[in-house]
Amino acid sequence: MTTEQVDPASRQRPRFSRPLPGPAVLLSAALLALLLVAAVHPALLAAGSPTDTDPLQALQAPDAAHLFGTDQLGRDVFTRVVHGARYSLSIGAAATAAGLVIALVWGLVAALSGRFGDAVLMRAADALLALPALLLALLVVLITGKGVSGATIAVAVGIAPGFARVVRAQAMVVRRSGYVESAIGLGVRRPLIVLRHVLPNTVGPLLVLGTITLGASISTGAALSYLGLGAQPPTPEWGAMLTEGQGFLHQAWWIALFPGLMLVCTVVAVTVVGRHAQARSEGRYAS
Amino acid sequence: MPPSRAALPAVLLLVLPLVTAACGSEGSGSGTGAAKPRTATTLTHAVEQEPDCWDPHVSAQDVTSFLQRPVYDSLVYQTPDGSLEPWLATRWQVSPDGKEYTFTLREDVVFHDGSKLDAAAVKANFDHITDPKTNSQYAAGLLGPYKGIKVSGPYEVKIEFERPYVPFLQAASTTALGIAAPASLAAGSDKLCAAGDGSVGSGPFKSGPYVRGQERTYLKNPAYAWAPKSAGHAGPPRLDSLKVRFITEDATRIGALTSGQVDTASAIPANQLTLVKDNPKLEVLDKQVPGAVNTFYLNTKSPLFSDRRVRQAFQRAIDIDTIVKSVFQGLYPRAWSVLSPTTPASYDPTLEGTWPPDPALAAKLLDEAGWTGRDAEGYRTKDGKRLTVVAPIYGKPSTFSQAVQGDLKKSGIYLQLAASTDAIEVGSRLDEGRYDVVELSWARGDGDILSHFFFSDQTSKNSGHNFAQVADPEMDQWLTAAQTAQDPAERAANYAKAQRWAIDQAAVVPTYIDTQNVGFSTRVHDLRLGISAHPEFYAAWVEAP
Repeated sequence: MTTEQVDPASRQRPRFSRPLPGPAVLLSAALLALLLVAAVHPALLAAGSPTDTDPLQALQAPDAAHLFGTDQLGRDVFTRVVHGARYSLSIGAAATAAGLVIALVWGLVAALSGRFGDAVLMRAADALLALPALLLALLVVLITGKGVSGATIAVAVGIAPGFARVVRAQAMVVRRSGYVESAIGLGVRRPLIVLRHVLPNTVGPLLVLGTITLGASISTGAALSYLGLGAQPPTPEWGAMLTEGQGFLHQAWWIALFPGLMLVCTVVAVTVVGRHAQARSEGRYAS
Repeated sequence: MPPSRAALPAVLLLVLPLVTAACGSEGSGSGTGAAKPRTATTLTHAVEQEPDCWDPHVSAQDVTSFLQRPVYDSLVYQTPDGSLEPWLATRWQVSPDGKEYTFTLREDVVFHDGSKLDAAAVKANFDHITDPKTNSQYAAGLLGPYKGIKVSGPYEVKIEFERPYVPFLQAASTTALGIAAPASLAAGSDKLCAAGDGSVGSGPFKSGPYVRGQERTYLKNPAYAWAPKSAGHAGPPRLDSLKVRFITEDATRIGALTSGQVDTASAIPANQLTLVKDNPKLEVLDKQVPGAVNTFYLNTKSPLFSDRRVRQAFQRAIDIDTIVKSVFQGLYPRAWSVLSPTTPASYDPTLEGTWPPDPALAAKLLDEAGWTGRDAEGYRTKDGKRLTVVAPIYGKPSTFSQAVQGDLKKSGIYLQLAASTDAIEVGSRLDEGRYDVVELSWARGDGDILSHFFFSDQTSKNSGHNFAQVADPEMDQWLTAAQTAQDPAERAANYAKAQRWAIDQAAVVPTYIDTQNVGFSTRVHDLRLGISAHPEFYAAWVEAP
């Protein structure tokens, strides 16, 4: 898991007390908005079909007709990159969401199930945390099978153990808080306490963590596709496009370059916006 | 490059026996003389695939045949141009009725384990191939109407067939019917097949250390003295050892070649050929692979393709010329027949140009067959079901398959490229007929490869590969006639009928003529491509850098 490192001096810097987000955040947010449009309604940005082949137009360098050039099958790389946003973003988002849900159950059960249950569940998380998320995802893909949904589940399982620890820690804090103690004292039933008090107060920090992890999930999903375990051809997923393009690097660099560039920009943008959201939620920005 | 390079191999061929003799005498470490060219002792080759099974009697993989050729010799040798000559057998005789082959064996052949080649050893091999427990996927099929083998002298065997079987001599030259040391055959399939460390033959190289997923080493057989006449060399191989590295990723394999990590590399894809050819330190050998060209075999028994009109629509919807030209950058010719023109004496050239792409005809045929609806993505439907053609694929779908997929979409046909890296899963799918189409090529230096694909009894149970599920009395009759006829013209005429039938019935869609491109460093000499278009390392040697 990533640990938050905050330079203590930064709080004093005027830049960090500005009420408005900086240009990097704005630029990132703009890119994400554009990506969202691409994911929801790609035809607005690129009219053609991402899978229509035209062998006579294969390996054309970028020009006015084909902004990002064409690939080995004569498909327009720009169209594929635009349509690819849907797959890359949805694998990342769905995996993060699923990972959060798994972690929520895992962490809450651990926090509330007494010493023995807690120990078992958390040692399991530790064991899985010993494996890098990508490696864990690779193992899971063996079980789920390859493809977009298989890769999504794999990424979700890959990030869940780390989240579970955070959920447990947060739930522990909430459990010992005054209002929960009061609720117990008032005789409120346990399930109700969990639903009313523990859950809502645990979810907040988790959402911020999810936003930051989203970038990593997108790149893990793309990595699985790159390895041939995620989205399958002819799906215009960025990782899969990278694999296809690498055989043509010396001849047609644009096939691999543009999806790769989009992937990098997206992950950076998501992370920048995520960090900003985190900083806000921690009250480091006056607003 | 200067013209001197072209003349170099011929010159070296003449002086080489002297050079190797000199090196041999100095091999104990006194160093090489300044005037004599030094030779590197190891050649490293990069291959695009790793065998799943190393037993050539079992495996149907072309790569197994290629990589076990240095270890196993055969009774007969097929020269790169297709003619047959003695190897482990010094001569052979065919009975007047064509049903019995008598082979006389060399008496000086010793296997790598020190045992001697004799008639009993050959019999042990044929018994191993035909033993149902061996579960042969190809070799047993090559034996056709095999009846049995008899030891008729210490160095003489008689092989009998139920009916005349002319293609047997060529079959006997393949690695699949290679002769192993009898003791090694008893070692069990684990050692022979999966581990590959149980390979004991009489070939110019002995099987050495093998690291799965990485490389296999072969060591020189210093006792080797029974090379076939046309092998381009005699005596022990010039290399002390041969290393084969498994590099499946094209870009990585080419990188290993261009950076000098390997001396030679198989399967240079068309789009990388210029990169290799433009490199002054590299050269390319190429050869059109004989046998069956890259072909789609349409499962004539599948629910979809049992309708001939749908098969014909699939056949005529694909703009093969344009795709082949684009994907292979104009380097490979398109195919018109399931047989490659380089297959000795069996190709039917009259099929050329007879079934050009015709999307309008394809549309008409699909309309007639009831595939009149269209779904949201533009694919044709019938009773709400999409027109889906399932193609199981082992490994990654090729650029070519994807181009065909894209082209078929224009005719409303969805080619589902069901890729899997699980060989067992793909194998059982094929065995059980759970597919509409299978795409592959199959190297063999004989037109009888057609029997392997179209004879009604060549089911997977009989080590055959009748992917199109053809069971046609006329086809069986032509193929039997071709196997029986002694006259090459009569054989060719019957194979021609089979080729035409396969096109007319749309049991096949031949696409392009598979071409093997082997890239090699200019430091490598006397490398040549054998009959199946794979490199032969026996005569090769490498200049020291």
